[in-house]
Amino acid sequence: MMLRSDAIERTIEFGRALAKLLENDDVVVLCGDLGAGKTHLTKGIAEGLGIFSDITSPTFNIMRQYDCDGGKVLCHWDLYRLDEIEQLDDVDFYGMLESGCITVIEWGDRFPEALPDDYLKISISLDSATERTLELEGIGPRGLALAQGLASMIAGAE
Amino acid sequence: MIQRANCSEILIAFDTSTEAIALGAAFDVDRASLGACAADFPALDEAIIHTDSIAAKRCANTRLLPSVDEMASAKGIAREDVVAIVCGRGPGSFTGVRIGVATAKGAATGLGCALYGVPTLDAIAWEAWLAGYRGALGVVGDALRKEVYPVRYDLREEVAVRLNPDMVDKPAAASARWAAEFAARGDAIMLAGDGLAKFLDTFEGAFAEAGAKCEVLPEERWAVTGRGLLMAYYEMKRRGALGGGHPQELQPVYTRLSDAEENEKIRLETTGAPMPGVLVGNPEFDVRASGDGKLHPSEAANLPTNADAFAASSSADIPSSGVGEQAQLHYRRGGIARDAAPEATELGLRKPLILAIETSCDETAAAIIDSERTMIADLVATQVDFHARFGGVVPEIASRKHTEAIVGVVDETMDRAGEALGLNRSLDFSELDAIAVTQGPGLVGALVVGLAFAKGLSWATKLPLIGVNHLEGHIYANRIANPAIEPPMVVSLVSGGHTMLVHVKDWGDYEILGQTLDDAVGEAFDKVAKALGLGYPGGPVISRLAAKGNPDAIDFPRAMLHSHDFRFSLSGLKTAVMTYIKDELAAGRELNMPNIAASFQRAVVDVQVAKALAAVEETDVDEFCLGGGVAANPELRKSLAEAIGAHGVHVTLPELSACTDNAGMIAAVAIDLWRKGEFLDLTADSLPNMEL
Repeated sequence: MMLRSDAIERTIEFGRALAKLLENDDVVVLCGDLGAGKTHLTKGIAEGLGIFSDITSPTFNIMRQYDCDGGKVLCHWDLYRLDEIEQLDDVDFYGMLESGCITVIEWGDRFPEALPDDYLKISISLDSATERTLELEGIGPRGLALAQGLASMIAGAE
Repeated sequence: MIQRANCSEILIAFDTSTEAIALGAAFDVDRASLGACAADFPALDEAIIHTDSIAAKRCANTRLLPSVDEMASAKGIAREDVVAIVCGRGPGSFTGVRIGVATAKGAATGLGCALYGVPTLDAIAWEAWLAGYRGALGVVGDALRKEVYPVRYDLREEVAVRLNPDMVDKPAAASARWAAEFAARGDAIMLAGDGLAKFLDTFEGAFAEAGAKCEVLPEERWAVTGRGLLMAYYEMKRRGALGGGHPQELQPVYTRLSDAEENEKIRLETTGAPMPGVLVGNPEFDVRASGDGKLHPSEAANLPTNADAFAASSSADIPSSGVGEQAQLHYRRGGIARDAAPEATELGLRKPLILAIETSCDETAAAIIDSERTMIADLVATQVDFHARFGGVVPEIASRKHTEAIVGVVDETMDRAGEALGLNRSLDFSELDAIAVTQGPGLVGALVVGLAFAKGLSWATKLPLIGVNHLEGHIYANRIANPAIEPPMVVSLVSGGHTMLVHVKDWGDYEILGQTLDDAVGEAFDKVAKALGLGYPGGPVISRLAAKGNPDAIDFPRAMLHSHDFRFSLSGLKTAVMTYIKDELAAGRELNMPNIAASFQRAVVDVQVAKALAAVEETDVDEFCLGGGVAANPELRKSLAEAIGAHGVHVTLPELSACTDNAGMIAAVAIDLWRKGEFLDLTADSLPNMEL
C-alpha cells in the first residue's frame, strides 16, 4: 500500500491519522534516508496521541518516552547512531519493547533481527525536495491491520 | 548449631535481574553449621535474618534501596556489621542486572566491605532445595526477545548442583532438549523460573509430545529470593569459590550471543556439533571445554563464579565435612586513618567536600570539589590506568561500559584527592559531605549505572545525595573556567543532544530562549560525517577537514536565520547536504570533501553566531558563555568570540577538556545545590529527558 505526501504537513497528518489506530504494544518501524521525514511522521503520531511537547529526533539519546492521554506511553527510538546489535541491550531496547508501550522506531531496518514478529513498517522515499512516497507494509496480523486501517482512513479522507 | 562467634558479621543480599526484587540478610555463618539437609532447617532459620521477593516491574532503581533501608531498620542491622554484599549477577533483564550490580558496587564501596556475585538462577534452585524439593530441576529464566535462560540442576539430598553454564536459547529448543532427555530417562523433571510465565505451554507441550514427565513447581517457587541468594553464597564460600570480594571484580553475566557467535552456533549445530545449545565463545563454556581453567585476563574477574558451577559436581560429596572451611577473610577497604585529627581540621576549612559522578553518555567520570570550587580531583575513565590498579584485570573501557569502570574511577578519584590534600592516603568517604550524580538528561542505560552506584554509596555512607542536571553542568563549566563571571548572561549550549540558547538570570534561574526543533548541532555533524564516510564522532573530523576547504564553495541553507526568534532547525541543512552528495555522485563528479565540510560547518556557525548575537542584544547582558561538546569546535569558538566580542560583551570559552562531559562541572553545580539543601532520597530515578 502506498501513500503520497506533497509536503511536510501532509506527512504529519498521516502520523496523526495513524495515532488514532495505535494501542499499547503496537510497534511502528520507520525507514528512509536522512531527511525523508521519519521524525515528522512521528511528530504527527505524537500529536495524535495528545502529546504537545516538542518532538525532536532522539538520535543522541536513542530513545525518548512520552506519557499520552488515556494512560498510553509512546517510546520514540532512533537507532541511527548504533553500530552493533549488542548496543540494543545497553539501551534496554528489548525491555522497553515488552513493557506495554506504543513503540515507534526510526532506522529500525538497521537491525532487522532485533524487531518483533508483528509490526507496521513504513518506508519513506524522497521523490523530490517536497514529495514523498510512503510504503506501508504489515508484518504479522496486527501490522497488517494497522496498514489497512491507515490506508483506508487516508483514502476515506481524500 | 550456628557458631555464635560469627553473629555480628552480617550479609546483605539482593538481586534485581528479574521483575522482582529479591532481598535478604543473614549471619555470615559457615555452611557446615547449617547442617547438610532439610532436617537441620532450624539452624538455617536462625542464620537467615530476612528473606523476601518483592514484585517491582521495571522499577528496581526506585525500590531497591528503600527496601534495603527498611529491612536494615526493621531488623536492626548496623552498617558497620555488614561484612559483605551478595548480589545476583544475572542473567536477566540487562537494565535490571546493571541496577543491582551498580547499587551493590556503590554500597560495598561505601561500606568498605566485600562484594560477592552469585548466579541469579542458582538462587531459584536453592529456594526449591530449601522448600524440600529433590531430584532433577530445570530453571527457565526470561531472556526477553522470546528467548529463555535454561539451566539444569540436580537437587541432591545435601546440595543443589548446577549442570550447565548460563546460556540463552529458544524456548522450543530448550524444552525439546530437556523433554528428549527425560523421555529417555523415564523420570520427571521439576520446572521453575520466571520464563515459565510466558513459555509454560511450550515446555509442557514439548514434554507431552515426547512422552516425558515434568512437574511444574508452584508459582511462588519461580522467583529469586533473598535466602536463595544467601544459600548460593554459603555454598560458594564452602567451596572457596567466592573470589577476592573487591567491589571492582563483580561483573554482570552477559549471555546473549553476538551475531557472529550465533552464526557459528547454527553452523556447528547443522554440522552435527556434539552439544547443541552450548555457547560458543562463552568464557564459562571455555572453562569447561578446555578443563584447564585458563581465561583471558579480561575474563579473570568472572573466573570464580563461573567455574564454581562445575566444581560443584566434583565436590558435592563433601557438603558438611568441614573440608576447605577456613575462615573467610573478607575484603576490607584499606587506608582509613580514623585518628588523623590535625588533618581533619585542615579539611574542615575546605568543607563541604563533594564527590560527583557522571555517566550520562560515553564517559565514566568522577570529581571532588571543595567549598571554594577548587577541583581537588577530576577524572574520566580513559585516564585511569586500570592495569596498574587491579593487577592484570583490565576492564574493557568502551562507551556505556560504566558498570565495569565505575569503582575504579571512584577509587582513583579518592586516591588522587588524598594526594592533592597532602594526606598521604586516600580520602575517606567519612570526610566527604555529599555524593552528587548526574540524574539526566542522557542515555537511560548509562544514567542508571551512575545513579544506582551513587545511591548505594549514599545509603552506605549516610551522606546526602544530590541529583544534578547535566545541562546545568555545562553552564557551570564556564564558572570553573572563569570564576569571576556572574549572571545575568547568555549561554549557548551546543552538543550532540542539545542546541539551545539559555538566558542565565542567576545561578539556578534559567530561561530557555530557544532550542532546536529537530536535530542538535552535534547530531548534524555526526550524520554528515557518516554520510561522507568519516566515522563517529563527527565533530572533530569535520572541523579538521573543513580547515582545508572553502567555506563559501557550496551555498547550503541557513535555516531560520531570519525567523526573528531563537529557535534552530538543522534537519533541512542535513537534508541539503545529503541531496548535494547524491546529486554530485549522480552527475559522476568526485566529492570535494573539504569544501563540503567547510561549507556545511560555515552554514551551522553562521546561524549560531547570528542567533547568539541577537540573544545577547535582546537580553542586554554583558556576558556570553559557551557550553557542550560542540563548544570544542574551533571555527565556532573563533566566530562567536569575534562577533560577540565586537559588541563589547565579555565572552567566556571553557577549555576544550571542560566542554566535553566531565564530573567537575557536575560537582560545581552540586556545591550550590548543597548550600540550598536540595537533596534526593533513595527513591530517585534517572531522568533521561530531564529539562533545564
